[in-house]
Amino acid sequence: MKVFLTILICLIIFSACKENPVDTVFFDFSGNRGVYIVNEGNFMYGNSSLSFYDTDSKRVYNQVFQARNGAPLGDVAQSIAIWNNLGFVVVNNSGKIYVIDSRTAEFKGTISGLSSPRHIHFVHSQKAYVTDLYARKITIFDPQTLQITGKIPVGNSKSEFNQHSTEQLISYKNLVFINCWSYDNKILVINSDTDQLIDSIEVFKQPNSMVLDKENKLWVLTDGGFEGNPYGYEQPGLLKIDAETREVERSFRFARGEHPLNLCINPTRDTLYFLNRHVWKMATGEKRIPEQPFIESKYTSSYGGFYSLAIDPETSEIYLGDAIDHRQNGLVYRYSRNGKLIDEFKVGISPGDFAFKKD
Amino acid sequence: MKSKSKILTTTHFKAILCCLMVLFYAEDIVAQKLNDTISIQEVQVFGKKKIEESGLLITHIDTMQLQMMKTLTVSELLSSYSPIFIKSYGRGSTASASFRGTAPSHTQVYWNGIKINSPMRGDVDFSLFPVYFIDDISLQHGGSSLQSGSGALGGSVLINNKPDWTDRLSIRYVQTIESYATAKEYLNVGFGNGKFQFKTRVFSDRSKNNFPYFNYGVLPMRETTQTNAGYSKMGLLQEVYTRLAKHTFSAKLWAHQSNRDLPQLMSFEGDTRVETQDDQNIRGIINWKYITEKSKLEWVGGVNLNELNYFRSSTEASFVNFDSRSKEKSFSNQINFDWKPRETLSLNWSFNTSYHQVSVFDRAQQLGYDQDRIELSLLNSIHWQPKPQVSLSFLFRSELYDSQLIEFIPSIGMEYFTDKKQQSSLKLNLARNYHQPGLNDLYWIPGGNPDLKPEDGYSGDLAFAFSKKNKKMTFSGQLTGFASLIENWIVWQPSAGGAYYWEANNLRKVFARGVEIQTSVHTTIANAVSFDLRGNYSHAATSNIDAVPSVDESRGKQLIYIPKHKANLFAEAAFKNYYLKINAPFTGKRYTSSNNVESDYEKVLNPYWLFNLTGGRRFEFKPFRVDASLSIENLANTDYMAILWRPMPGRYYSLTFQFSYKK
Repeated sequence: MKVFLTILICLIIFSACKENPVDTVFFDFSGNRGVYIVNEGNFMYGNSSLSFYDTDSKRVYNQVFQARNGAPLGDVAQSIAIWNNLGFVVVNNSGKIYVIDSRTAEFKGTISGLSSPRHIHFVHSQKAYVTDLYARKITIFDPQTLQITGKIPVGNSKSEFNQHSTEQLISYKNLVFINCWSYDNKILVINSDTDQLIDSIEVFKQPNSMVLDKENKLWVLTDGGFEGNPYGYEQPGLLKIDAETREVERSFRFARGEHPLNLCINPTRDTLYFLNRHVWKMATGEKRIPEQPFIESKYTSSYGGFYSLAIDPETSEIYLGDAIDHRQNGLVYRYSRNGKLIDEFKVGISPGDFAFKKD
Repeated sequence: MKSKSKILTTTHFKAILCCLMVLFYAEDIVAQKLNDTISIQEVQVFGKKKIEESGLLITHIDTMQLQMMKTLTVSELLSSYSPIFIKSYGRGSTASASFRGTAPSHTQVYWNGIKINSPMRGDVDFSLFPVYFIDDISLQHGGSSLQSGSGALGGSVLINNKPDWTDRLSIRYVQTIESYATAKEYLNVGFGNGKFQFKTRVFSDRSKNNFPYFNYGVLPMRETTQTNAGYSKMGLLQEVYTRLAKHTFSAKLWAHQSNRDLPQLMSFEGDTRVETQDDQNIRGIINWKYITEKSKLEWVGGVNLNELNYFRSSTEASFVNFDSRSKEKSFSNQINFDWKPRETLSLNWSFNTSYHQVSVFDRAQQLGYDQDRIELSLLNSIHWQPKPQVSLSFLFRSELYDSQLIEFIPSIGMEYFTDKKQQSSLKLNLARNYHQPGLNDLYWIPGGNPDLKPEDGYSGDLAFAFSKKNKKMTFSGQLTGFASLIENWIVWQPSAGGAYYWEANNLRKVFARGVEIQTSVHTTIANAVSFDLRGNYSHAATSNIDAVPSVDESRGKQLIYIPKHKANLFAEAAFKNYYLKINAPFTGKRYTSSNNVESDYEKVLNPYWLFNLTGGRRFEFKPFRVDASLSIENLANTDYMAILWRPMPGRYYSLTFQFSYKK
């Protein structure tokens, strides 16, 4: 019986031991140019994270949200937008937006109660839009008070699919263009003065990203869905649309089985960049998709490779996320505008989005 | 700061609790020493020495433990009493197994001889099996599992029902009332004679599961209550047995329904979601045996029908995200012939044909597939004891599924008794095994890969088993070392092509190796208190040894969510009609990223012990018996996470009454 008792006591004492709590880390990025990197983490793991990379000192700070605030960022962080020294991190599967001070990563507030939020666009100091994969509405909130102030319904009752799912937002004059990616082929046009859906533009299947060039042409990249998709499957494509007339001016097709994504534009807005296994670069005046990639992926195996792409709006430098196996900390490569590797650093799991901090 | 103070408070509380526990037990033991002896059945940890089991590594879980865990599920039983690691999403939630560090689909489960793994996913949800519906459970480790079927790269779990030919009329009713609005009822009625037996079991288990917890997954952190985690399960098991001269006939029908709400992660702060999973299973078996002195001919026909409905909607947006129905129909037919020309020689042939039909459709996504598969398997085995201290076994299977033929899947075993009393032995087993991809791996849209190859494994075990017995004490144990190499391990992940959906590929080469230790002691103290102590420890290092890209740091690292260390301890002290039991499962550290990164802010799931204490008393009013017990689950109120960001309950209580009658 003594043995039993001794074992029991030892076990309970062991179980009572707890790791010491971790101290708060205070950051001060004020005055530093840098880039916030949103690491998506894995769906239903709640392991997304935020990294900050100081572009001058080339120093990377990982897990900044958790380290500063003592709590996890949440499940599948989708995107980040910086506005007025605030960073708005959209945490997709936690149904919320966490707001931080972009100089210190300190938690400032939450916009909660969302369905499947994707991206944010700031219309002015009292108005911002949030797109959503499932909610069939654009949520309007006040970026100063963080209160939800309204919504723009975007449901399409005529479709048998869940339309419209909304993704990225781009403003042109008093209009906001929104691409509808999942099971959809539309670019919605919203009047941001009246918060009304006023028009839509039909494009190829599944537009996943878009940019506006210096001639006010909207470039839209579509992935075409997948084999067996009930909505249909077609070759991926790239379209050039006049933002004023909303007419498609030119279109390009990729081969079936290719997966182009992440359309970006340089600061002078005359060169497009996108991922399609490798990094591709294309002048807006080109009449053909280039034949040679700009930065070649060295991956030959069936996994790993470039997962996300961003262009520094001041320096034209190229940032590339590599999620490796999506179950370990990913890598970010920093290239010069000429495609020369400047730096590479480890971030969190599945680096998916970037936001550049000017000062 | 808030989290810091919370943790410190918990630690202090635990220290106080420890002191109280010591005082409590000390007093209790002094009292127990004064009393008389009661007899308790003998316990054997390692395999029975049947010739058919010689050279195989088989663990039988004791019926005493089945009795003790009667109101729990098989997932909780395996977690507490076996070396298998159970990955459970929480109370009442899905629970899958990792046997010897392998994937859930690498554990095959047989119910009275028919395989009940999901043909779609390949795995089994152990939380759907109540222990009350089981009369016998055993584990076949590693290559020894080929005796029952292929595909168990980790091992197999065999669940059986047996008749009690002495039963004339028996009734047993169990009622449990538990914290968090949980109620469980079990009823068993059996009657018959030496030639005919009829047994009906029914159960119901439902809970709101609304336990309080401290949510450190949101800001600001706060005390909260788990919501949307309720469940209700019910089931019926009907058995009929007859025996006439050399013929034995049995039929069994098992119907089961489970409705579960699925809670969100701790970090969730979105709009109201409804997320549910409903499971319905109907399983039937007909069995005929013809037994002569030297041979046994057996036919088993089985049917296994499963339906799993998963639903998720956003109530505010009145939008249904998922509404999927997965229907599986499996039919199997098996003929076994055992021939024992001598006491020391046993030969066995078995031929199994199975047909699986799967239909999956998500009405919200309008996606799905319909597929079927035929499987044929032939087993030839021989067990031979050339000398009293040496037993040998050799078996091989030939299998055909779809159009893939695997001609030769062998397993060789040897057992050598190191002493004349046959109290200690050395066992060796070497095998090749393979596991065919699940139908989801092949056909799921998008990402299923029809070109997948079967996972191919080689395994070896070496075990030393011993037992020692004298008037006062019985001591037994088994020490096993194992290693296996699995090629073409199937992984779902995004491909380098950049598709946004995940794809199945034969990506990894996994090396799993480790040690399993099982011990058992039974003794009587001061002729008054009978005492049982049982322990189980397993070490399983499972790593990917084939990481391809140069930046991939997962090479040689432990696979995620599989602990290297797992243990459990069980102790029981009984005096007259009183009993006190403690059961303590331990789960080692688990990584959640493939490169096993560990830092202050990166989440590693910390190791934890859980303590479950039960005290009770039996009352005898012949022919009636009553048993009343009180259990305290998670006695130390340990704050732990079994899965990332899913809360688990602290200390809670359970009161059980059992009423039984036997004529």
